[in-house]
Amino acid sequence: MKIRRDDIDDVTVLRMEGKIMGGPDAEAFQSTIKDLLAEGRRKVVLDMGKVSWVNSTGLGILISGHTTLQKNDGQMRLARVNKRIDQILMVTKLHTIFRAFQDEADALASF
Amino acid sequence: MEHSTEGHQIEIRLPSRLELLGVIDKVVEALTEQMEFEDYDRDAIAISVVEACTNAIQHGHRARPELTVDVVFEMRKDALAVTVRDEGSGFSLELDEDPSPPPDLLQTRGRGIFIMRSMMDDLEFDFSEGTRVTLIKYRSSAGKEEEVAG
Repeated sequence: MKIRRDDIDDVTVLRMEGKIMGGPDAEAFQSTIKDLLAEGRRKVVLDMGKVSWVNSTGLGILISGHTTLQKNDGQMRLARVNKRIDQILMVTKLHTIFRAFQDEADALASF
Repeated sequence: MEHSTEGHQIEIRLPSRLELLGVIDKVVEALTEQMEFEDYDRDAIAISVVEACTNAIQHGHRARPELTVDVVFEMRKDALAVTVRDEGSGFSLELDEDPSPPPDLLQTRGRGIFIMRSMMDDLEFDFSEGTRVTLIKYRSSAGKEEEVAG
């Protein structure tokens, strides 16, 4: 998993790439979120357009990012989720937790 | 139509490294296309097989790369059966769980078995020698989700 960061006004877009599946991904993502919070940035969009899939461990990584942000008055949105990731979010009912948008502009406008 | 893959078996031995899950995913993608599964089922199978291998690597082998995970794809006339075998016994704890999503949706673990049960037609476990899970998806199940939804 690779993460590229773009700050757009007060929202940070984290452009995720590859597969989100645990192992070192967890530490990399959590550390990115903590860095953002340390800088006072609390609005985060995860651009999932280049993520091919997420497994259950990867879902745990996303949940922990969401929870960390929420505990610090932050919010997280998902953008450009593919149908395979959408399927796993629906089955696990996590679509009720994560707000997902078809494109980045809608996600940015949602804060 | 008779499928050229029918009756064949493919076996892959995988070191316990999460970064190799992509290889298994590609094999599933190719086989399910060859067997003409519907797109929804193709994703369901891929998600489930990746999940079974994730469990084997993380829970069965505690990510020790020297231990290997065997994945056997059996192309039946009416189904694809995938057996994932590890040398550990880390699955048993999760098996005791209620096969429903964690009551607290913000729980970060404990979804693997639920995902597999939800997405496959049959799931069988055998703990006689390591942990062996067999996931089965029938070709005729294509469209079941639409019928239920409709």
